[in-house]
Amino acid sequence: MILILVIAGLLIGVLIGYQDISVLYESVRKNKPERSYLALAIIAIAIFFGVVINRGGSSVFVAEMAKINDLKTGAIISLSALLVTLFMRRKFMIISISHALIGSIVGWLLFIGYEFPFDKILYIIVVWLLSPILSFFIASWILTISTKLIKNSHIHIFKMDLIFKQLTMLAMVVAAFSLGANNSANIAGVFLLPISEMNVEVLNWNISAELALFILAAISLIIGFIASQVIPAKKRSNLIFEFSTEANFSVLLSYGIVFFIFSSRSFQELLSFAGFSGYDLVPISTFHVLTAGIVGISYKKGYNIYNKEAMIKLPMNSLLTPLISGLTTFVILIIINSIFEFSNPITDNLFKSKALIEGESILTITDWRIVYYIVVIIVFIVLILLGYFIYSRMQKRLILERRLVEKQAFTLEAEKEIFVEELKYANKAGVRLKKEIDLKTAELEKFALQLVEKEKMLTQLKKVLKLLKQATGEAERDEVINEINIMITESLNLAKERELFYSSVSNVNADFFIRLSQQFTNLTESDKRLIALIKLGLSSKEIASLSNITPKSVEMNRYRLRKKLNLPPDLELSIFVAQI
Amino acid sequence: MGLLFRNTNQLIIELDRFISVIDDSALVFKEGVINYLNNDFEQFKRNIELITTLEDRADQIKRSIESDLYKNSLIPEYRGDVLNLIDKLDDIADASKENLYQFDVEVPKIPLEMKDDYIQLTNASLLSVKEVLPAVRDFFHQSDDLKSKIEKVYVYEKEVDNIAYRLKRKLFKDTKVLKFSEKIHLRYFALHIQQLSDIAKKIADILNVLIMKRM
Repeated sequence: MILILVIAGLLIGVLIGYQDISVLYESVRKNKPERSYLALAIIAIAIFFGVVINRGGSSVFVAEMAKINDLKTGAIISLSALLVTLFMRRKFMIISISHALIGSIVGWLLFIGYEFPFDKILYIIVVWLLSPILSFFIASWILTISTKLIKNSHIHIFKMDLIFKQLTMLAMVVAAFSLGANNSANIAGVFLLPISEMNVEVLNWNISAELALFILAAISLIIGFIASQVIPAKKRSNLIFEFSTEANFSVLLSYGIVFFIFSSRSFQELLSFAGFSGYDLVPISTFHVLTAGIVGISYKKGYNIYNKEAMIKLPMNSLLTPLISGLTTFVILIIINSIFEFSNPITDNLFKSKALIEGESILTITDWRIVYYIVVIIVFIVLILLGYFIYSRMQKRLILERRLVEKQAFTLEAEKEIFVEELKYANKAGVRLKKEIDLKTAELEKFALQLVEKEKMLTQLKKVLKLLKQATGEAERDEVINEINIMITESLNLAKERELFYSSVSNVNADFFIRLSQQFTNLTESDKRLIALIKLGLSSKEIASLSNITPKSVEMNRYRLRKKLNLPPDLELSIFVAQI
Repeated sequence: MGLLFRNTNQLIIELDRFISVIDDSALVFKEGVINYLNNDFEQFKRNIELITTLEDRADQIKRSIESDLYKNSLIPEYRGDVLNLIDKLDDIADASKENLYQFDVEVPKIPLEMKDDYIQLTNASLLSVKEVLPAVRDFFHQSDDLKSKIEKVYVYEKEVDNIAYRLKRKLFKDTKVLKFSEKIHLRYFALHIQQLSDIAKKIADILNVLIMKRM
């Protein structure tokens, strides 16, 4: 009968194993998709030792608070908390078994009308508030340190990933150990007093019932955990976090540390030895600590992974769960009382247990001063953290500004390199073009000079013709005619060459003529020809010679052109043409 | 127990080899284009043979890296991005080989006055590849000046676009000696050379995402 009642109570352990531990393990398992039986075994061992080694930790706090000296009552409280947890998780998902259990205990205390433990309730509320805050900061600090280590180590990303995977596995072991230690209170806390004086015999081996209870609690957690790996849940939790390996490590380690602080007897003793005595080990919420760690990481990384609705739901659930649990337990106890006539046999046991507790002095009365000290410490921590936040924000801004300046400098450097490259290319192209222009200009000048020469030749021809007229002898006349024949043959090419000259001028200065036509639409072909010759730097006399007109006509043409171009008197035509 | 005794040294060496092969492919591509432009067809043939070997090697190493990444379950949160990065790096070798083959098969007629422009485009395109490969190495070794290299890749890529635009403009507006079909053909080759800097830019984009994810 005793075993059946205890097993009924231990169902809560199976639920914790199935849901809470598996949530932690999933974040590790995603590093290695195939199932590792060795990893499962290591975690199971860590849970077992966590429960057994720290069995006198937070479970004593629950036992002292509940003051239950009867296994049946313990089973009722435990099952009531289990029912509320199952119902609430189906409805809201993220709720804590610790919250439900403490709520059930409060319902029980109200039912029997025992002196209400305000100091303990206040203390546990403070711890429930403090544990997520601690997890938030510890997770973000661990991540900051990890990120700095990663950045400064310059270790290859693959190697670093492997190192952090191995560290995450170790953090998982720490988390499993601490989770086992802390949750032993949720599983065995309500059964602790009724069996405190008993012994059991297992395979001819006489052990205390308390040790047997905690071994059973550990086994229930392990069964739940193994079941979670064998039976796939449809939706175990929406808390399985998808971060980088170092972020996973930070969350798990912060979880392990926070749970270790509130569940490790050795740590409690160490603090007592250091002078900080009077703090009790209490059961805390896996989901709240884990969520706070994830939010801490998200804050550090600048993510916004939780919506506002979820962030409001979380504290609401913390408030609702103990209330609903307390009310449910109270109602269940009233129903049981009315069916089984409470005065017989449960009432006897209830009040017997009350008397027994009062008689034994195993309780540590928490002093109000402790609560006061805790509040002062919290305020102090909050002030330090506020200062740190302001400092880190300023640092972030400075780093951003520095990065911006660096970015601009890098861009400028890259642009400079490109400009140098372009300049080299442009210089090369420029030199080639200049050579081409020089060559063409030289050709044109040569051509122009040839034409001038030919004009001179024609003038000479005129003179020779005069000589022919004056010639008297036949021989003398033949000689002059021969000379004229040669001159005419040469000059026959003149018109052709002139056209060629003008076409060359047009080709070389194609862009110039396009601009000219665009700017002055009223120019005739002869005007354009005159402008081209002026642009070549030829004098009026040379132009006259080329165009086969008199220099005076050239001057007249220049005057008309000035008028067409609407030039002011002080601006020279050659300068204006050069500027087009 | 595999988690505790796993080793990533072989994978790191493979990745380094892969990046070196990609680097070599880009260099051979540049040499190939210059040899083609200089009408040194003997050297160009050698470049084609070499780039074929390099591309094959890059494919082999890529497959081995992909399989090792899955086998060791490394970097699960960025594995998709890293595999995408490796794919894009392999694209450099693929594009280099493809483009040299196209030069060999299609034999584009590049006029003398366009030669310098094509060389400039090739150099600028290679400059972005040359900058992105050290950036990839830096990402894996978690070096500090990764961002500056990524910025440079973007600047170089932009410059390649400018050079390509000028080249195409010159090709279609100023070059009189070519037929329109020949101009289209040459434009197509300018696009091919430009493709390398586009891949470099895509790699820089992936690196940027990875940096943000790692922050």
